[in-house]
Amino acid sequence: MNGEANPRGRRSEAPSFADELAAERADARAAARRAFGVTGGGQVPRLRGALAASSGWYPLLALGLLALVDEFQSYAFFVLGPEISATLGISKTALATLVLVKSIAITIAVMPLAAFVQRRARRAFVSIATAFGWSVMTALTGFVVDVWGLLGVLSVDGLTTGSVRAVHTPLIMDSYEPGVRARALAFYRGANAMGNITAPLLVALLTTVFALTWRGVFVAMGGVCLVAAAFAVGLRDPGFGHYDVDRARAATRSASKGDAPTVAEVPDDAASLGFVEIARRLLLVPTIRRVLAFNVVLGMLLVPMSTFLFFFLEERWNMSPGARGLLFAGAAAFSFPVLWWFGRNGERMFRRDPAALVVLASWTIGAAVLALAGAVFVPLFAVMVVLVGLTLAFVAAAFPAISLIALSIVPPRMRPHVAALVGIALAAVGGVGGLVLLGGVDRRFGVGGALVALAIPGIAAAIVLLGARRTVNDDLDRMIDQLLLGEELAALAERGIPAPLLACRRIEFSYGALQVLFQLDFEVEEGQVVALLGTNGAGKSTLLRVVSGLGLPSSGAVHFRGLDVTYVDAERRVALGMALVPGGRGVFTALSVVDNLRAAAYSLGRDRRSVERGIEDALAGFPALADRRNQPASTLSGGERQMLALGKALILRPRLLLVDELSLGLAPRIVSELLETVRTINARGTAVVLVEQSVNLALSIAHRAYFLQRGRVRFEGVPADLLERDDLLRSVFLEGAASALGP
Amino acid sequence: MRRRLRLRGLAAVIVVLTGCGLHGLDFFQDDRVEIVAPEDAETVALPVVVEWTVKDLTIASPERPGGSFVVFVDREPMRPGQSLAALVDDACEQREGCPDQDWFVERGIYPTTETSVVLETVPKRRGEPGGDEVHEATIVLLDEEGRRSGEAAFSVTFEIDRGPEP
Repeated sequence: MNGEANPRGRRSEAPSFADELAAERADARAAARRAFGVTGGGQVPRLRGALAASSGWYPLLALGLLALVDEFQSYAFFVLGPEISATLGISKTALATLVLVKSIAITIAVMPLAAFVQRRARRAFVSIATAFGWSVMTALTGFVVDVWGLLGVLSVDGLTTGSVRAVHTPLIMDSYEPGVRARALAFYRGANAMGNITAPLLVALLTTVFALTWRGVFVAMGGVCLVAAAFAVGLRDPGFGHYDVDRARAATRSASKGDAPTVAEVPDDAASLGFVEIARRLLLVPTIRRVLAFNVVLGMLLVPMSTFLFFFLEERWNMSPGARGLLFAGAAAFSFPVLWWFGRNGERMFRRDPAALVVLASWTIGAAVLALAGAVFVPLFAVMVVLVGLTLAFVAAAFPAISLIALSIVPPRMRPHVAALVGIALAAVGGVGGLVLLGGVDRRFGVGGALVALAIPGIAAAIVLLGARRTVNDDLDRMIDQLLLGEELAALAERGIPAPLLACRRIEFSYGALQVLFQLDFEVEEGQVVALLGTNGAGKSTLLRVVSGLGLPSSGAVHFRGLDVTYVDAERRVALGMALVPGGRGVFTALSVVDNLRAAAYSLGRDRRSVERGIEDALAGFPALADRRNQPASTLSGGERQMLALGKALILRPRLLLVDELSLGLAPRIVSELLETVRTINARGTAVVLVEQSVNLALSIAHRAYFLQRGRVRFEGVPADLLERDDLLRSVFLEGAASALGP
Repeated sequence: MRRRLRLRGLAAVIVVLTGCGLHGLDFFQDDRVEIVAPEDAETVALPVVVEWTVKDLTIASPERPGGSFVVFVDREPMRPGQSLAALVDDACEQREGCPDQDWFVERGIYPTTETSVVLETVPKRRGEPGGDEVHEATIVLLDEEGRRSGEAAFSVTFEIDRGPEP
């Protein structure tokens, strides 16, 4: 960037902070990657020491215990369904429907829970509260007397156990430093597998040794859950990103000679984002998209697999329900050594290269599919048991790997959203899809054939995930870059340099596979008129779309008034003081002039009096419109429509006005009138970005100019300097600009 | 936000609690009835004899309608406190003499004062996950009023071998 004087003189002597840090960026990024656990080496910190340096064993034990008991109610309901049916006179179809309702409740719960914790770090509170919730529901199941009671306890139980999916793994990620996260997640998954062993044993113990009915079993299990919830009462939320983001910021400060601001002064990008905005932002991350697609396909494997396995064991091996339950409990034990191996080696792989962990997870799923297919064909019972155990173990090992990958490449506040989306993709989309797609396979090819058919989604899932090896490092870097950009702007403020009104940093944008903007930097100071020029297809209008929020960048950041608005909705940017006049399409032709203005004013939700005042002010600025205030906009000339579009924008009292193609198709006289209006608007203190094909017009009023070519900035500086750039002026549409402007 | 959450929580608690009770719930298994035939998961041929023994249980006199046991085959029993009349549908109620023994048997319901019943016919169970020929018999107790007594239910699962298809 150039350091030319600008007409307002606000940054006349100060060099650009981006320039100053350009040489340090690579170091800062490398330091931030190390802070996120990607050290490039295979050294793994000692578990005990690393845990002690983080939050200690307690969070892991508490969350593991909750993971161990959270499925108790589901398992008991599954096993004791016939007894419940006989006692309450409820049909098995009704019971199956209730189970479905619970599954839906779990799926529904993850989203509001993620939204609930996104602004404040209260994941520990949610974990504790919901644990007590499901514990009470499990105990209350023993007291239900009719189907409505069952519906109530199952629904609330589903809503509360949803917290496990949305909150637990993000809480583990934030409770421990990156060097032990793979092992922590593997431990947590092991606790979940332990639950698969404990639940059937507990049911067997309570029904045989203690001779409890299903009611007694639920009450006793509820008691066990309450003990686990009570154990977890000491959980405390460590905050978002204490062991990665904060350390990355500290590393950045170190890389920039330690003169950057404190953490508290750094604006947090996610703090102001709503749930939908976060979800939309996450879907822009290629690896997250891959992981979600992987979970959809994996759900097609996992959900039917357990059902088909039960029937397979019965048909092929004549196993009774009790024997099948025991086999599954025993098979779950295979998960422990596999998870132990994964914890240590997965950690090492991630530290060396996250892509290597993606490859490992993909191969693990592939191995699970092979083991499952082998279990169908093997003639020896013992070998079949081993293969079923390995199937479950490989699937169990893949989950912490995928969690570590997906949760490491997004800002900590967004981790519950990733977990929620993954849960929905796996259970709701993939699970239902699997049942629909594979429902008829068993009738045609038998249960064994159906199990073998599951190899198709299994292998497809592995291939989909494997593709993420190409994107995971870039996505980690993008997340780090955005973090560093926030640091840069905060450091700017620390040095007494006011942040630009608008700062776009390293923006990239694509229309599908077609990338339009490349590493684009763009700034607007308070009160400036900035001309955005370029050839057709250079990306000028696209940049305006990114700035205004109509398009979201695939990487980079947009800061407005010191706030990171990169992923903030367009209407919220309007509320912040940004208005866009879209080229040639800025009015509702079916509405009258006044109604067009009123529609713009109401978008801010203002009261009637201020709306009317705003309309009158706008009309006062455009006398030609005032005379035709009640006529439909369709009867206006092109110039009048542009005036109306400007009036609509001005009624919002913007700090920054974005004007796209002001002169397009208008007569010179009209254009000069409009330009005069823009000057007046600017004179009142509104900064203006003017996208123009007509360079002589734009440069005649601009304080600063950018020239784009093929999505990249080719020039940035004062208009007079642009006129000296013959290479750019030779561009077809720039001809004559110099003569128009003069010295 | 918090108020809304509390209201939702309260509504959920109310819904749950209205479906719960405290009286007449069995938390420990009832061993007054033991099914002795068929054995659990046994493969049997038609007619199937379901037989059980009782202890610490006073069986009502055979003269009293409704009997002291009801065996349900491949269907869930009525809820505790309900009589067999609760299972009778509108079509039957409008017919004179209905329900009778045949009506009950057609629906897999066998009221009796004895400690065994003979199942002459047991329809195949279409679409059941366990298979067409895996069946379940559930015995519940009736009180002196002919209502289901307590929550106790005693079940056995058996498989029918009908021999080669004719």
